[in-house]
This record gives sequence, structure tokens and C-alpha cells, in this order.
Amino acid sequence: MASYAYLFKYIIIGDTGVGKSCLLLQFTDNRFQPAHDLTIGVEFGARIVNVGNKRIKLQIWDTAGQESFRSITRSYYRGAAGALLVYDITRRETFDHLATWLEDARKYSNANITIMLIGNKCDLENKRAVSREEGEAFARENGLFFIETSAKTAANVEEAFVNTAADIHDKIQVGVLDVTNESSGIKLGPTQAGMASLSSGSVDSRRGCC
Amino acid sequence: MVAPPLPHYSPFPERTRSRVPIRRPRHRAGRFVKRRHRQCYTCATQESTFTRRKNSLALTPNQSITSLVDYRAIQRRACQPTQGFETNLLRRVLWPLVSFQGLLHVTTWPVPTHADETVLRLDIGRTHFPLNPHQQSQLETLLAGVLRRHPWLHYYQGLNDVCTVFLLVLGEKLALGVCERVLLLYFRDFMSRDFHHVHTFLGCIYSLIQAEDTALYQRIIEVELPPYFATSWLLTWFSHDIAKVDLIYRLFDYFLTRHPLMSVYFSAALVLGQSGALMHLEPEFPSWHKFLLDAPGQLTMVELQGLIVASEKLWKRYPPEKHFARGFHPYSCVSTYPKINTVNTALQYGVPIDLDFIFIPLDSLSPPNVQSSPSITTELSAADDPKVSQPLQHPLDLAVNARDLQTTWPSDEKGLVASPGIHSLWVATMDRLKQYVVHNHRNWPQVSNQTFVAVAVYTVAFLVVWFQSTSGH
Repeated sequence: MASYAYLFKYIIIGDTGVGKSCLLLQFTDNRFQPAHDLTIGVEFGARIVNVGNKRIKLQIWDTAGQESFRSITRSYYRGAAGALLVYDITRRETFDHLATWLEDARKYSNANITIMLIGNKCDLENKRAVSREEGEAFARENGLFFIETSAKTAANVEEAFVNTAADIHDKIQVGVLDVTNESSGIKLGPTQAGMASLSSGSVDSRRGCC
Repeated sequence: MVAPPLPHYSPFPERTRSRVPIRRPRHRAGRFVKRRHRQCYTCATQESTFTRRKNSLALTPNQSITSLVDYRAIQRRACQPTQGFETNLLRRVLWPLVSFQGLLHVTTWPVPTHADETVLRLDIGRTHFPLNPHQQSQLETLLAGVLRRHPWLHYYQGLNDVCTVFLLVLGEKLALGVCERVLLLYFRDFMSRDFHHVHTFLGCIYSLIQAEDTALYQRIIEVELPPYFATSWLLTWFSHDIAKVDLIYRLFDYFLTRHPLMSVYFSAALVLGQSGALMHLEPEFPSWHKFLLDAPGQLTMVELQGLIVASEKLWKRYPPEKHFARGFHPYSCVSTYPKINTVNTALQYGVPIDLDFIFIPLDSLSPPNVQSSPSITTELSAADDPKVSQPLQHPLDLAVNARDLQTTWPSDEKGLVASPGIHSLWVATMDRLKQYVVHNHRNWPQVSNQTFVAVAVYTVAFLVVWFQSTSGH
């Protein structure tokens, strides 16, 4: 049960109250809390997903959204392979702040980090303040993936996490990301040798000697 | 049809009832009155004899009514493994007292609205203990009230949980004064522009762990665990983490009677208490982080009392004036917390306690960035009192700018850019702390008193002999 091929580290960032913790809760526990506690500092969740034929463990760091906490949350950027940048489609200002969040993410994280832009609360269509096209345009300009989700109805939540994992996995296959480098946010899992079809020979030899 | 017998009714209370001993509600506050006044106090507070014995308190004209208070007895009660102040009735008496209500001189710069009120409004519905809509509006009034009186304070998420506790115990009216003083006395370091000073507090936890349990500290270094699991512990005094409200009240009894650093000692005691379980965890920092995050939620009252005793022991073993001798800013709440003698004098004579920080930096303020935007300046000139509308800076922020503490505090930015990961960030935090924390006293050769006296005696004797021999020549 505990065996997995890779472990990816994620970080969830975005303004306060956009639903970061609710997304994580929906993804890990399949439930929704309408009045979720504030996140103070950094919290943590984990789940195993399947990408292709591989089991991948996602280790997700959920951060506080308020600006004062940035000096604390910044230190979690660097070890992350994927970042979920969340805004609230019903609050315009959370979309306007995306640029600063992205700047932070680019500054403090790995160069090869996969960033998924998430417009959350898409169930509140009648209160929408940011159109889908605007989100897509921002993502296109900055080279991000884009998806609209609802932590309440669980729409697209699974996809947001899994699509990010799929992209990271592709990067490993292509060789953009180095599995042996711990700071890339990827680790090899304690999988049995038969289950994992490891692409890189050097990794195999390393496993052999350990 | 026979009507059922009417119940016996008498306009007079039943006789039998008087035989049952009625337990008068004991005035529990009496135990915190100084012994020599206690007899008079209990007489004076009993309802029937109140008018007759009112004058028996016999205070001299220059004595304050608060001089009856035995502050040390209150502290003892809170620091010992007891239920603390037990009831909320008593807390309503003692919390204002221990937060020096009426004794702490507070200067205010009232403003119409505070910049952080928009964030604050979002957080009102997201407290750890769910509030009803009426309480939510009370909490908003309370928090906004404090912030508007002190525009230099910044709101951070977690303050809503702290203020909720005060609101639940004290009610709206009492809570305002107490919250204001508690935020000024205990939380103002965290209410500066960023969390620069939170890192100091977090580092202190590790410093205590290092001094107390080297094996655990070594393991923490191996696991590369940053101290951020304790962020909410310090920022909210555990009111965000502990599940039961009774335990939080008990813990607040403790923290309110003690030094601002006590939450650091308590956190260290909590981690040290879990060392056995931590050592058996897999050496991965996420699991350690999660384990420690969940630890306060599972505490029981007995364990909490044990931790209070443990943190008192830590305090005695590593007193902050020695262990953290140089770690804190001159305007930090740690540096300006009133000493027990000051408190006693204030209680005795009703002399207000002055916190220097309130006066020194703010009076010499030149408002920053006012001229940068023309729209703001026009608004400012329209205002009646220029002082009201000027953005005030937190004394800790201001002093960092003015005194340029760069020599002792390397800036966050530089440290972060140079560091390749969490580990090095955390090492940088520790290094930074090491520059401050003077724990050399442990490394010095341990010299017993006898040795010291012996050396002193021999030195004096030698000097006498030498002096005599030289004067003889």
C-alpha cells in the first residue's frame, strides 16, 4: 500500500480565503468544510495518485495566504516540484495579486517547477468576477497550466492535482528533471524493483548499491 | 369524577428547606487578597455585612485599592498544577487585573479605519471556535477597536482566535480593555510589518531544546525540521491548536501571569515531552512536522498541567536573562515586560506602569512615504489632526530602520537568496540566533563556590605577603 514509484512535493499558494485548504481537504479526504479554519503557518497533506501505470505519492504543503506569513512560507518553495497557484473567481483582487505570487514562486523555487493556475469556487457562477478567458490568458502569457475548480462540488479538483503530476512525470521522462537531485522536489519511492520501470540507468545502479 | 388533589401550596417557603445547609457562594477571589487584609476583605464582600464593614478595609490615603491584591499568589496559582483560576467568573476579575487594566499607561492614536480591516472582516467567520453571528459582530468591533486605537499595529491571521478567547470569557465590554493591553504586552512583536521577530521566538525554542536534550536536537538537525510547526503555537498561544476550550482558558491563565517568553518555554516543553515518540518516527521532516502540529490537539488537562510545571523548570534552569541575553530588540515585548517589583509598586500605589516603547519611538516619528502619493497628501491636509491620518510605523520596524541593526541581524532577503533549500534557511536562522543567544555560561568551566573562595583567599594572602615583603625593603 505504501509503495510508490515517485514522491512529488507540491506547494499551494494564493491569497487568503481563496480556498487553498479546502482544495487540499477535498483532494485528500474527499470532504468540504464551508467554514474552514485559518491556516496559520504551514500545514501538510499527502495522497497517492496514479499517473499512467505508476503510483505517485503527492506530498502537499498548504500555506497561509496573508502577506505577513510570506517570510515563513517562502522557505517551502524551493523543495517543491509543483505549485498550485489559486485565486478566487468571485474576488477580483485575488486575481490581481497573481503577479506578485508568481514573482515569488519564480524567485524562490526551482527553475523547472510546474505551476498550475487554479480559479477556485467555480460553483458560484452568479458571483463570478473573473472570466474564464482572463484566467486562460494569464496562464498562457506566463506559461502556466490552467483549470477552474470547485472545492465544494469537487469539480476538477482531482484533475488539478493529477494533471500537475502528469506534467512533472513527463519532465522526468524527458530528462528535464533530475530524479537524483533532492532539491528538485522529487524522490524515488520505496517501490519493489519489479514494479518500477526506472528509465535512468544511473538511478538503477545507485539503488543497487544502497 | 374526583378532581385530583391540588398540590400543596403555601405562600411561605417550606420549613424543611432551611434545614438543608445552603452553601454560600464563596468569594474565591479572596484567596488572592494579601493575608493581612484577607479577613477584612471577606467581611467587606459579604453582602449582608457590606455596609457595616465597608470601612474596615482601612487603606491609607496614598494606597490604592489594588494594593490588597497578592500578585504573587495569583502567579503561584497559575503556575502550579492546578485548575488555574477555575471559573470564568473569577477570570473576569483576574484577567483584567493581570493585564494591568487601569494600571498600564496606554497612549492611543485613534484613526477612523485601519488598513487591515478588510482582511480582518474575512477572518471573523473563520475562528477556531465557531461563533454565532452576534458574537462575530462583537469580535469585529473588538478587534477593529483595538487596531484603530493603535494604527501602528498590524493585524495577522490568528489574532482573531486570541481575541475570541477573551470575548468568550470576558464579554464584549471587558474584553476591549484586556485585549488592548494583552496585545501591547505580549503580541506586539508579531504585529510588526512582517514576521521578522517571529523567527527570533521560533529560534529560541530550538535553543532551549538544544540545551536540554542534545540527542533530540541532533535528530532535529538530521531530519532538517524547520521550527515552523510552532508558528501558530506562538502566534495564538495555542488557541488555534488546542481542541478543548477549558484547556485554552487554563493556558491563558498561565501565560497572562507570566513573561511574554513563557509561550516559547511552554512550546519547548511540549516538544521535549514528545521526544520519545519523535525518536521512533521515520526520519522524514513532513511526518515530524505533522506529528508536532497535531500534538497540542490531543492534550488533556493533566498533561497540560504537567507541561506548565515542565516549562517552569525550564525557565528556572535556563533563565532568559542569561540564556537569551542579547536576542531581543530594545522595544520588544520581551525587553519591556514590567518586572515583578514594578507590578507590585503599581498595585500598591496605583502608579501607572509605563512601557517605554509607547513613548520613545512614536513621538519622534516622521511619517514615512506620505509625500509619495499626491492623492494621500491632499487627504491628509483635509484631516483635522495631522497626527491622526499619518501612517504610524511599528516601533520595532522603525528602530530597525533607524538604528540599522544590520550588523547583528543579516537581512532575510540575503539569507534566502544565498540558501539552496529549507535546510540552509533553517541553518541560517539558527546561525542568526547563535549570534544573539549567549549560552556560553554552560560551556564555561564549572567552578564551584569553594574553589572560587579558596582561590580568592590565596590571592589575597599572596598579595598581603607580597606587599609586606616589598614594603619591608
